[in-house]
Amino acid sequence: MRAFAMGATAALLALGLWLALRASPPDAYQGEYVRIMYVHVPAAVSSYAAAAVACVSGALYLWRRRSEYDAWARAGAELASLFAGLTLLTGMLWGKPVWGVWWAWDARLVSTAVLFLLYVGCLLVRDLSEDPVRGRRLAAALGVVAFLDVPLVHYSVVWFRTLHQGPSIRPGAVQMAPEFLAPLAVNVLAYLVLSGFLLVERARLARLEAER
Amino acid sequence: MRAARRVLALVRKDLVLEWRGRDVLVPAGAFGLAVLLVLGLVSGGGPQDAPTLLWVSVLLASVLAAGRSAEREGEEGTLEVLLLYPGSREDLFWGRHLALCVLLGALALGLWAAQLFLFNAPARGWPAVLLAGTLATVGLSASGTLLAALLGHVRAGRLLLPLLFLPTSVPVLLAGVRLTEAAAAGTTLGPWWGVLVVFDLLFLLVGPVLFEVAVEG
Amino acid sequence: MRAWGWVLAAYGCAAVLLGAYAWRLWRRLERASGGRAREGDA
Repeated sequence: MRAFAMGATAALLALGLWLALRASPPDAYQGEYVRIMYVHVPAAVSSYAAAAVACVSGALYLWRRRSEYDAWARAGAELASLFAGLTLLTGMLWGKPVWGVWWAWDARLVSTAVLFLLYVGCLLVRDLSEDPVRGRRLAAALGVVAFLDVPLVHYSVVWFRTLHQGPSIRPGAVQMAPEFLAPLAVNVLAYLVLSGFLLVERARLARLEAER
Repeated sequence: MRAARRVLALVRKDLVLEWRGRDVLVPAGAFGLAVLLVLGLVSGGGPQDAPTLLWVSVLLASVLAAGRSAEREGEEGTLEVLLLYPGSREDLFWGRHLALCVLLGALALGLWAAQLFLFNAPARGWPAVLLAGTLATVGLSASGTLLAALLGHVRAGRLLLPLLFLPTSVPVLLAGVRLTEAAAAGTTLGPWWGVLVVFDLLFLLVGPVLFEVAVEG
Repeated sequence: MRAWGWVLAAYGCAAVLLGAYAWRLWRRLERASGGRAREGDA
């Protein structure tokens, strides 16, 4: 079962990579840079999905107190910060050649950075807590707070920029042609499957370590 | 009724301690002033920078105040004693929250007055600024009470509090800056009031529930 | 050609980050399960 899951994930990632680097045509405006989108957007989607897992299983843990839920909450928080970090890195590598700057005060960038910081904090709290059981509870609570706060940060940054200096560049506001949409969809799927696989394995590791 | 009396007793305890020791308002207020001075110095300190500098200093001083007022309870074992009393633990949250509201309100008011003089900022539209400050104070003290309680028993918790508090409070900071600018220009901006209200509601709803999780043994 | 440099840098970042995470996870799983990670104990 695990070997099959691993094989399917690898095959899907390979297909996504081939579509992104070979099959997809260069964009009329962005040229080859559009290919960065095929890793950037899936990473962002995965980080939000992992954050949602951390929030839901954190809430379940606080309600039911079963260590099973804590294992999922921990896996979700780790993957949320990992994929948020990847989103920021690839976003900067796209921004420098296309926008001409490494960093823009765009709502998505800022809210991803906030997500990254809050989940890193969540992991730190868990590891630095004096009592491991208390640490689990605190991390679960922070995971819930972080997930509820990030949308508010996003909208406030959108308004902060737009009410001030007119609409900024918003990727995704442009209609997307099918030859770009299809590779993007495959890559999003592949990254979601990958993060699902990593999530299951990370939760399994937490269970194994708890047994010993 | 009983709950209200408990909450009021807790608020009174915190404020009496503050009155006797003055170990939250004086250091946090002095720190806020230092932030205003340093940032004002490097940015040129014109009236157009005043809203930004005011809200940044309020936010940074609030981190200190929230951390210190939670720490005080930890130092003397007050929290353990309070937990032994009968009654809901939510009351502990509301008591600390209201006391922190008073402290942060005083802090914000003091810094607002200071920036009027330091940056030659117009006091025009002060009722709107006052209302924004009140809403911000309610929200920040709710999130501050919750986060400080969560970090109470964590090593390096005092260092982690700013890491969690500052990113969480971005909506309040942005809303405060824009509303203060608008008030000085004689206009108002609808959505920002909404941001402040949503932030307040979010932490007033989530705060008491998660606070109980934070303080349990 | 310069564009491909940026594209490959982005994919390289992804490969390094995700690869390092997966590798570390795999190693820890093997250690925690005493070498049973390969057979897939469920």
